[in-house]
Amino acid sequence: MSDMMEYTVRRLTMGVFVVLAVTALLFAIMQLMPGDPIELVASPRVSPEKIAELKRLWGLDQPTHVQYFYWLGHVLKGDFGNSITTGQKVGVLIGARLPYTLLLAGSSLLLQYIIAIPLGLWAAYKENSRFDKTVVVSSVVFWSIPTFWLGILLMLLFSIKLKLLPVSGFKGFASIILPIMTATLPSLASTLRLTRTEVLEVIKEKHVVTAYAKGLTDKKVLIFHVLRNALIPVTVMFFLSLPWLIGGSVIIESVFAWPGIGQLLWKSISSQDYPVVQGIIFIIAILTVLSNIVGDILTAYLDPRVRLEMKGEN
Amino acid sequence: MYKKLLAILTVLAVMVLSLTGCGGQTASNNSPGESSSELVVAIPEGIEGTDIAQVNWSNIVHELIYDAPVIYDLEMKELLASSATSYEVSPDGKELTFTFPEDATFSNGEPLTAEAIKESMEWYVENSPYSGDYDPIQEVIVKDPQTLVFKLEKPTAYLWSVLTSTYNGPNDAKVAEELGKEAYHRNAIGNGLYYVDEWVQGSHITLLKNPNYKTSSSVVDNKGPAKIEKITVRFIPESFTRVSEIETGSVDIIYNVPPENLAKLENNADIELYKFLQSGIDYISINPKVEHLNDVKVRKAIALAINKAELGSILNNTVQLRYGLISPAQLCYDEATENKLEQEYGYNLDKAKALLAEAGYKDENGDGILEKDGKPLAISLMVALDSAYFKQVAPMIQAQLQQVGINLELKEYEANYIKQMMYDHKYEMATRGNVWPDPDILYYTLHTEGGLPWSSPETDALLDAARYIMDPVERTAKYSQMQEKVMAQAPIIPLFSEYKYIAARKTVEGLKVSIDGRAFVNDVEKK
Repeated sequence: MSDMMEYTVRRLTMGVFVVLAVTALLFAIMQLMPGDPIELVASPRVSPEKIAELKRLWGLDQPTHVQYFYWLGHVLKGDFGNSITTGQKVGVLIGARLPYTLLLAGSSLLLQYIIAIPLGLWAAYKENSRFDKTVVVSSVVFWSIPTFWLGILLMLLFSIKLKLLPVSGFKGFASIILPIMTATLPSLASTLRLTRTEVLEVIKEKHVVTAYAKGLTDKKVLIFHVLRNALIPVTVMFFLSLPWLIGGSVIIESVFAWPGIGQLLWKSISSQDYPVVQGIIFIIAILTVLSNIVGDILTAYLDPRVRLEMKGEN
Repeated sequence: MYKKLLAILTVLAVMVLSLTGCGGQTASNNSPGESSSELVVAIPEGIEGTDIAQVNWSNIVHELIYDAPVIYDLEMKELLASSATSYEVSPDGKELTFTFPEDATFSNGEPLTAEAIKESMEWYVENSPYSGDYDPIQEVIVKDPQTLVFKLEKPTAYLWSVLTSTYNGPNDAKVAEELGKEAYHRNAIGNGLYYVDEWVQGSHITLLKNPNYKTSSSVVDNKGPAKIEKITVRFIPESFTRVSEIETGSVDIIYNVPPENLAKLENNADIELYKFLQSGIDYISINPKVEHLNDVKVRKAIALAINKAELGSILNNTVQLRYGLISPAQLCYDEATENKLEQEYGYNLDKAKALLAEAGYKDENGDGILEKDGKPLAISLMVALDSAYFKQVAPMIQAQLQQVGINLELKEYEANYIKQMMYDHKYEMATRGNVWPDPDILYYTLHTEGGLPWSSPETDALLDAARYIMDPVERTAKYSQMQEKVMAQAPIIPLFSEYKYIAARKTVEGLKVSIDGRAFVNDVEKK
């Protein structure tokens, strides 16, 4: 077995334990919350006998560890159970929302990198120029604006004043523009600044000076010698951001009435709908573990020093 | 390099502009609100499901899918037949007879017979958290295909609020049994003005006109199928977004207009506001089992120290101040009782101070807060952070109680959490609200069976009796008596009933809204 393969298997095994630990911890935390989903949702008109009957039906009268292992046993069979508030299959609920969230958060993440990397590279190349200062300051300004407020400002401008874009909901391609802008603009700053900082560090290294000495053009040096090395932490950050694709857009989804998974998670937490919360967190945990592993593997692929460390030759 | 970057940025800009172009087209051409055969309604929360027998709470979607046999009129003064052609109460009040039209059908065209309604009731009892709703009915008899008889143990007044509610709308139980609970919950079959076409969870539900619909209700002029072919109900949680949608015209009707946007919408010539009153009250519940609050004089002093007029004023009078426990949008409201309670328990700072002094409280250290046995009169109030009204008035109540020497600590929690803490008796004072057309809802707040920390045998007896009094005048008198007994003990401080608003674009004509907020779209046309 190659070193890389061994490393991957080791990380995947650890990942399984991480996922189990996260779900167990979450289960415990939700149990600590006062009340239970039946009593929270039921109106006063529901009799105490009916509440007891519903608790029995949902297994909420069982000890926490029994409930957890019952849930885990079903998950291993691919059954996330049913939502306590809607009675529907958790898998169906998540499946119905996931595409919308992936569309919004995925597009936003891609756009963020497409814009931030060239801008970060150019800002570093033109360090302390007017362009550099403008890009850095404006990215920090967008980063500082609360998402909720930015969404409303964009809505006021593009939907109400200019009447160019739909206010909210998913009504085709145009309706995704405002949510994507709201999600992308504040997050540009982190990627942009990371790219800029890394480029500034790499650009001063000896191999870059050597590349210039060999007579290579600015373009070739920047892209093939500077950017490739500077992008290593940026790539890792990209993969670490992936889990937030699912749970990180609660506010944007709420402002733009976007039928994604963030809203579902928020509502399910409020109503203590354990099966739905557990289902979503389970997916986020798996995605986190996998993203970390892929990020590490990719770092090793891009950075020979990491590969050497793995072999213990450093 | 610079030129290349410029080129990339230009391409990106063109892409964004072209997307914007698409957006403009979509916004103006495909906007659902612009079709005269389609109505777009925005509500704050999505639905749990479509089957009324499986939901914990209902909304306009269920009101459109189901039609109860009987309903209250717009002023809640008269009972009217709706999906039934008539109803009859036997002289002893123990037999209720409902007659349905011969050609009545569900939205799928299946016959809506007395037998089908009986099966629907069985489905409800089997699946609804409110299965106890039908407890007073001892026997359901199918007299003939069009006649259904309910046999009751004794005349039961509170049953009528169930029978007139959307929860009593019939389901096609045969389809429900065939599909199973989960699948049926996604596409329930009722007898209402519309039926489910498509439900996109978290986004919207599309309802199509039920061609088989008919009603006997005199509330509406159009007794047949709706004039609008399709209704899309969108779920828009943010109030700012809902308001923006109706302003731009992409939504025709919005529910839960936030108080802060009322003036703006009132001044909009294209929009009409429909005002109704909460069929219940917002109140402060007091736990009389905790220190300080176990003294009725302290509880009464708190009630007297709250200046409700000031609360109404900071809420821009979007509430009706309440001194009794029943709203005018509920049955058995009595103005005389309300006035009497206002006289006795309305704002009176001197009386509040005197009561606290009588209870043995005085400011021993001159810090403005009263003490007794060296302990300061400090109380906490759990405030529902998801209620704009409570959040706004809580600091004002805090300041008002400070004036009589009570140190009120505000603690913000979600309403559901507060409810749980109340049932666990782990609170001192808490904000709560109720909504139900019948004052019997107070049974669950004030009766020993309700499980809250305060109750009394006297109030229990009055609440028990009021459930079974059929004569409205006599029943109202019983509830008045109950309110006076309760207020004398002050375990609850009524604050106000909220005015609620539905906003509709003026192109929507024929909308009727009842005093308790039921919207009738049978006559609606879009101009």
